Amino acid sequence: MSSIRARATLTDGIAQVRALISHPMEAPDEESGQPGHFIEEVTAEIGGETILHAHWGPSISPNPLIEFSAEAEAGENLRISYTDNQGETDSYEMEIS
Amino acid sequence: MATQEIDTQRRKFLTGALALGGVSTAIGLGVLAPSRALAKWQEEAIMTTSLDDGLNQVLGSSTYQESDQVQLDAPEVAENGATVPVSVETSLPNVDNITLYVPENNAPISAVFELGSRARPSISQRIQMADTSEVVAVVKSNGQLYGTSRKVQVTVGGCGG
Repeated sequence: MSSIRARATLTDGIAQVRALISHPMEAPDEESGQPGHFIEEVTAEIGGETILHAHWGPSISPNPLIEFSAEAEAGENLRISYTDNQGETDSYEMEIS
Repeated sequence: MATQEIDTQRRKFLTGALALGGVSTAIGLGVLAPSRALAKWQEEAIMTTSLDDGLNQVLGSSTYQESDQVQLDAPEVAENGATVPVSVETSLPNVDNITLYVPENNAPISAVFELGSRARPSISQRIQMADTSEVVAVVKSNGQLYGTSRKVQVTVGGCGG
Protein backbone atom coordinates (compact mmCIF):
# COMPACT_ATOMS: atom_id res chain seq x y z
CA MET A 1 0.00 0.00 0.00
CA SER A 2 1.28 3.43 -0.85
CA SER A 3 2.25 5.78 1.95
CA ILE A 4 0.51 8.51 -0.07
CA ARG A 5 -3.23 9.06 -0.10
CA ALA A 6 -4.73 11.72 -2.33
CA ARG A 7 -8.08 13.11 -3.34
CA ALA A 8 -8.84 15.43 -6.23
CA THR A 9 -12.03 17.44 -6.66
CA LEU A 10 -12.62 18.82 -10.14
CA THR A 11 -14.66 22.03 -10.39
CA ASP A 12 -14.82 24.21 -13.50
CA GLY A 13 -11.58 22.85 -14.92
CA ILE A 14 -9.64 23.23 -11.68
CA ALA A 15 -8.59 20.18 -9.69
CA GLN A 16 -8.21 20.81 -5.97
CA VAL A 17 -5.80 18.17 -4.70
CA ARG A 18 -5.34 17.11 -1.11
CA ALA A 19 -2.54 14.64 -0.37
CA LEU A 20 -1.59 13.01 2.91
CA ILE A 21 1.75 11.21 3.24
CA SER A 22 2.51 8.81 6.09
CA HIS A 23 6.05 9.78 7.05
CA PRO A 24 7.85 10.51 10.35
CA MET A 25 9.44 13.78 9.09
CA GLU A 26 12.06 13.44 11.79
CA ALA A 27 14.43 16.42 12.03
CA PRO A 28 18.21 15.89 12.13
CA ASP A 29 19.81 16.17 15.57
CA GLU A 30 22.83 18.47 15.45
CA GLU A 31 24.20 17.30 18.81
CA SER A 32 24.21 13.58 18.11
CA GLY A 33 24.84 14.04 14.39
CA GLN A 34 21.84 11.81 13.69
CA PRO A 35 20.70 12.67 10.13
CA GLY A 36 16.95 12.48 10.74
CA HIS A 37 14.42 11.06 8.32
CA PHE A 38 12.42 13.52 6.29
CA ILE A 39 11.01 14.05 2.81
CA GLU A 40 13.09 16.41 0.68
CA GLU A 41 11.12 16.55 -2.55
CA VAL A 42 7.52 16.07 -3.58
CA THR A 43 6.48 16.13 -7.23
CA ALA A 44 2.95 16.29 -8.60
CA GLU A 45 2.18 15.69 -12.26
CA ILE A 46 -1.08 15.90 -14.17
CA GLY A 47 -1.17 14.24 -17.58
CA GLY A 48 2.60 13.79 -17.36
CA GLU A 49 3.20 17.53 -16.88
CA THR A 50 4.88 18.66 -13.67
CA ILE A 51 2.60 21.08 -11.89
CA LEU A 52 4.29 21.22 -8.50
CA HIS A 53 7.77 20.55 -7.28
CA ALA A 54 7.99 21.02 -3.52
CA HIS A 55 11.28 21.14 -1.61
CA TRP A 56 10.77 20.47 2.05
CA GLY A 57 12.99 20.99 5.04
CA PRO A 58 12.64 19.04 8.29
CA SER A 59 10.22 21.66 9.65
CA ILE A 60 7.28 20.19 7.77
CA SER A 61 4.94 18.41 10.19
CA PRO A 62 4.99 14.60 10.55
CA ASN A 63 2.48 12.82 8.27
CA PRO A 64 2.45 15.89 6.06
CA LEU A 65 -0.71 17.18 4.45
CA ILE A 66 -0.42 19.33 1.35
CA GLU A 67 -3.10 20.99 -0.74
CA PHE A 68 -2.67 22.54 -4.15
CA SER A 69 -4.72 23.13 -7.28
CA ALA A 70 -4.17 23.09 -11.02
CA GLU A 71 -5.95 23.16 -14.35
CA ALA A 72 -7.10 19.65 -15.22
CA GLU A 73 -9.60 17.68 -17.23
CA ALA A 74 -11.61 14.66 -16.22
CA GLY A 75 -9.78 11.45 -17.08
CA GLU A 76 -6.30 12.92 -16.70
CA ASN A 77 -3.78 11.06 -14.59
CA LEU A 78 -2.54 12.59 -11.35
CA ARG A 79 0.78 11.28 -10.05
CA ILE A 80 2.33 12.28 -6.73
CA SER A 81 5.77 11.07 -5.68
CA TYR A 82 8.36 11.86 -3.03
CA THR A 83 12.01 11.20 -2.15
CA ASP A 84 13.34 11.39 1.39
CA ASN A 85 16.84 12.01 2.75
CA GLN A 86 17.46 8.28 3.16
CA GLY A 87 16.74 7.73 -0.53
CA GLU A 88 13.32 6.16 0.03
CA THR A 89 10.68 6.97 -2.55
CA ASP A 90 7.01 6.28 -3.04
CA SER A 91 4.37 7.31 -5.52
CA TYR A 92 0.63 7.33 -5.97
CA GLU A 93 -1.43 7.59 -9.12
CA MET A 94 -5.11 8.22 -9.69
CA GLU A 95 -7.47 9.35 -12.39
CA ILE A 96 -9.03 12.77 -11.96
CA SER A 97 -12.82 12.59 -12.26
CA MET B 1 61.29 -13.56 -10.38
CA ALA B 2 59.41 -13.64 -7.12
CA THR B 3 59.57 -9.86 -6.89
CA GLN B 4 58.19 -9.55 -10.39
CA GLU B 5 55.20 -11.74 -9.50
CA ILE B 6 54.39 -9.59 -6.50
CA ASP B 7 54.67 -6.53 -8.69
CA THR B 8 52.17 -7.96 -11.17
CA GLN B 9 49.74 -8.79 -8.41
CA ARG B 10 50.18 -5.38 -6.93
CA ARG B 11 49.48 -3.81 -10.30
CA LYS B 12 46.31 -5.88 -10.68
CA PHE B 13 45.18 -4.82 -7.25
CA LEU B 14 45.80 -1.16 -8.01
CA THR B 15 43.94 -1.39 -11.32
CA GLY B 16 40.99 -2.93 -9.52
CA ALA B 17 41.03 -0.21 -6.91
CA LEU B 18 41.10 2.46 -9.60
CA ALA B 19 38.14 0.91 -11.38
CA LEU B 20 36.17 0.88 -8.14
CA GLY B 21 37.22 4.47 -7.51
CA GLY B 22 35.80 5.36 -10.89
CA VAL B 23 32.39 3.94 -10.00
CA SER B 24 32.16 5.75 -6.69
CA THR B 25 33.27 8.99 -8.36
CA ALA B 26 30.47 8.55 -10.88
CA ILE B 27 27.97 8.19 -8.03
CA GLY B 28 29.56 11.08 -6.17
CA LEU B 29 29.23 13.38 -9.16
CA GLY B 30 25.62 12.41 -9.57
CA VAL B 31 26.21 10.82 -12.99
CA LEU B 32 24.14 7.85 -11.87
CA ALA B 33 21.51 9.89 -10.07
CA PRO B 34 20.95 13.10 -12.04
CA SER B 35 17.71 14.13 -10.34
CA ARG B 36 19.27 14.16 -6.89
CA ALA B 37 22.26 16.12 -8.15
CA LEU B 38 19.97 18.76 -9.63
CA ALA B 39 18.14 19.22 -6.36
CA LYS B 40 21.37 19.60 -4.39
CA TRP B 41 21.52 23.40 -4.30
CA GLN B 42 17.97 23.58 -3.07
CA GLU B 43 18.61 20.94 -0.45
CA GLU B 44 21.52 22.99 0.90
CA ALA B 45 19.49 26.20 0.81
CA ILE B 46 16.69 24.57 2.75
CA MET B 47 18.97 23.07 5.39
CA THR B 48 20.91 26.28 5.96
CA THR B 49 20.62 28.08 9.26
CA SER B 50 21.26 31.43 7.56
CA LEU B 51 17.96 32.78 6.28
CA ASP B 52 19.51 35.39 3.98
CA ASP B 53 21.86 32.84 2.35
CA GLY B 54 19.01 30.40 1.83
CA LEU B 55 16.68 33.01 0.32
CA ASN B 56 19.42 34.29 -1.96
CA GLN B 57 19.99 30.77 -3.25
CA VAL B 58 16.32 29.94 -3.70
CA LEU B 59 14.89 33.27 -4.87
CA GLY B 60 17.93 35.30 -5.85
CA SER B 61 17.20 37.87 -3.15
CA SER B 62 16.42 37.99 0.55
CA THR B 63 14.07 40.97 0.26
CA TYR B 64 10.56 41.29 -1.13
CA GLN B 65 7.94 43.93 -1.74
CA GLU B 66 5.04 43.84 0.73
CA SER B 67 1.84 43.12 -1.20
CA ASP B 68 -1.80 42.79 -0.19
CA GLN B 69 -2.25 40.61 -3.25
CA VAL B 70 -0.49 37.84 -1.35
CA GLN B 71 -2.86 36.24 1.16
CA LEU B 72 -1.34 34.28 4.00
CA ASP B 73 -3.58 32.37 6.39
CA ALA B 74 -2.09 31.19 9.66
CA PRO B 75 -3.52 30.98 13.17
CA GLU B 76 -2.84 33.90 15.52
CA VAL B 77 -2.20 31.44 18.32
CA ALA B 78 -0.93 27.91 17.73
CA GLU B 79 -1.27 25.75 20.80
CA ASN B 80 0.89 23.06 19.25
CA GLY B 81 3.92 24.24 17.27
CA ALA B 82 4.30 20.76 15.76
CA THR B 83 1.40 21.28 13.35
CA VAL B 84 0.62 24.83 12.28
CA PRO B 85 -1.67 25.02 9.22
CA VAL B 86 -0.54 27.67 6.76
CA SER B 87 -2.17 28.65 3.44
CA VAL B 88 -0.81 30.96 0.77
CA GLU B 89 -2.76 32.28 -2.18
CA THR B 90 -2.18 35.13 -4.58
CA SER B 91 -4.01 36.94 -7.35
CA LEU B 92 -0.67 37.99 -8.90
CA PRO B 93 0.00 36.66 -12.43
CA ASN B 94 2.67 34.21 -13.67
CA VAL B 95 3.69 32.86 -10.29
CA ASP B 96 6.34 30.15 -10.54
CA ASN B 97 7.59 30.01 -6.95
CA ILE B 98 6.04 30.17 -3.50
CA THR B 99 8.44 30.06 -0.54
CA LEU B 100 7.43 29.73 3.09
CA TYR B 101 9.80 30.61 5.92
CA VAL B 102 9.85 30.99 9.68
CA PRO B 103 12.73 33.28 10.81
CA GLU B 104 12.79 31.89 14.37
CA ASN B 105 13.18 28.26 13.31
CA ASN B 106 16.65 26.65 13.32
CA ALA B 107 16.31 25.83 9.65
CA PRO B 108 14.18 28.87 8.72
CA ILE B 109 13.10 27.89 5.21
CA SER B 110 10.13 25.53 5.62
CA ALA B 111 9.25 24.83 2.01
CA VAL B 112 9.89 25.98 -1.54
CA PHE B 113 7.18 25.26 -4.10
CA GLU B 114 8.05 25.49 -7.79
CA LEU B 115 4.86 25.77 -9.81
CA GLY B 116 4.27 24.59 -13.36
CA SER B 117 2.19 26.67 -15.78
CA ARG B 118 -1.00 24.71 -15.04
CA ALA B 119 -0.75 25.13 -11.28
CA ARG B 120 -2.83 27.69 -9.44
CA PRO B 121 -0.78 29.86 -7.03
CA SER B 122 -2.44 28.36 -3.98
CA ILE B 123 -0.78 26.07 -1.43
CA SER B 124 -1.75 24.76 1.99
CA GLN B 125 0.77 23.02 4.18
CA ARG B 126 1.20 22.13 7.85
CA ILE B 127 4.52 23.32 9.24
CA GLN B 128 6.38 23.06 12.56
CA MET B 129 7.35 26.11 14.58
CA ALA B 130 9.95 25.98 17.34
CA ASP B 131 8.78 29.22 18.92
CA THR B 132 6.58 32.29 18.48
CA SER B 133 7.61 33.86 15.18
CA GLU B 134 6.56 35.60 12.04
CA VAL B 135 5.58 33.27 9.20
CA VAL B 136 6.52 34.73 5.84
CA ALA B 137 5.22 33.83 2.38
CA VAL B 138 7.03 35.12 -0.69
CA VAL B 139 5.79 34.60 -4.25
CA LYS B 140 7.70 35.18 -7.48
CA SER B 141 5.44 36.84 -10.04
CA ASN B 142 6.92 37.84 -13.43
CA GLY B 143 10.34 37.48 -11.83
CA GLN B 144 9.57 39.94 -8.99
CA LEU B 145 9.25 39.01 -5.32
CA TYR B 146 6.15 39.94 -3.34
CA GLY B 147 5.26 38.77 0.11
CA THR B 148 3.51 39.15 3.38
CA SER B 149 3.89 37.93 6.96
CA ARG B 150 1.76 36.93 9.96
CA LYS B 151 2.82 36.60 13.54
CA VAL B 152 1.97 33.23 15.07
CA GLN B 153 2.15 32.88 18.82
CA VAL B 154 3.27 29.38 19.72
CA THR B 155 2.24 28.00 23.12
CA VAL B 156 4.16 24.70 22.97
CA GLY B 157 6.99 24.63 20.42
CA GLY B 158 7.35 21.85 17.86
CA CYS B 159 10.65 20.00 18.13
CA GLY B 160 11.50 20.17 14.45
CA GLY B 161 13.22 22.76 12.31
